[in-house]
Amino acid sequence: MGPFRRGLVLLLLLAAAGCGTSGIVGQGALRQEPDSEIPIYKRVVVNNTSLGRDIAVTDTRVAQTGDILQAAVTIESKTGSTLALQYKFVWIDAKGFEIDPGTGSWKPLTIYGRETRQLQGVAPRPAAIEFMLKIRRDQ
Amino acid sequence: MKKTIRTIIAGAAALFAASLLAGCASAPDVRYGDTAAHQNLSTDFGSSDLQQVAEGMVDSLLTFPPVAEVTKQRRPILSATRVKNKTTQHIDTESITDSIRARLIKSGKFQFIDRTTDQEANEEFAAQQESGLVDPKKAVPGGKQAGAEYLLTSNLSEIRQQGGRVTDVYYKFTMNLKNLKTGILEWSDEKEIRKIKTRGLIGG
Repeated sequence: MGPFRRGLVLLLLLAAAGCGTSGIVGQGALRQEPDSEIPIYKRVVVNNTSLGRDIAVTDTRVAQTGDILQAAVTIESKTGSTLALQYKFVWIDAKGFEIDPGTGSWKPLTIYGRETRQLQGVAPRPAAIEFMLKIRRDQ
Repeated sequence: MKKTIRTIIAGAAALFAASLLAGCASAPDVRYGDTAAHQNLSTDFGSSDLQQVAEGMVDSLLTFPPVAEVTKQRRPILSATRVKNKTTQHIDTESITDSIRARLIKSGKFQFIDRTTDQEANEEFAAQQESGLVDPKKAVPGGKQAGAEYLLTSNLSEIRQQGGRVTDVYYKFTMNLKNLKTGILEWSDEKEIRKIKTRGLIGG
């Protein structure tokens, strides 16, 4: 399969009560089973009615360049208005520890009405085997 | 009776005014902020812009296929020059280089030569070699340092436009990786940031 390995993908959409919390969290993981074609499994749970109404996660992919994990999450705007959002990738190692907690920055994201955008992230080091994508409204 | 009521009202008013003044004089609201938070207070180049630039450049360099191919086998030695600040603002560009260098070192894919601490290193060498305090067998020998194979160079430029109440600032950060042996630019990337400020009708 070369450097690109498909893995188990899990998506979770969680609630955000306040401005400081994440509106949506998407997760993906790379499983080291190069000989088997692992089907991509997706699960989407929408708890945040407000942000969940406005955007949807339509696809999640994980791949490796060299030994660095890359993630791509496609989101789609379900509203006609322009949305000002922020997103952040969080990376997790094999032991379940977050890599460099608190160092990744929230990046601004402007998504126009009905637009589809792919958000891409690169793990800071080879130890990362899972990722989490957090999306929230711009404060 | 009327005088008593007036006295009470005056007393209450004085108490109310005193409490307001006390409120004004209370301690300012100081709290810790989230260092990862994205804050837009002005169109100036800010901390979240610095983080975006550093992360964007490191992500690009780590995943550029020819570079990934080399770093899979070994850790190339890099040297980073100070960012050329072509903007009209005073920006601590060394901080941008420091962030990029720290992220690249932590990736485990690169090693860096730091020329900014050469003077201190020379003083330490001199102390080891000439002071007579250090065991010659344990003193670090001179002339054994590694040389950089690649040079990281970068520019930060700005285009500022203003019309009416709107200020539009476009930043472009460019970074290049030059192979010192061949002179070839092995990698280059740009990160663009646009900030728009609309002034209120009243005030600034």
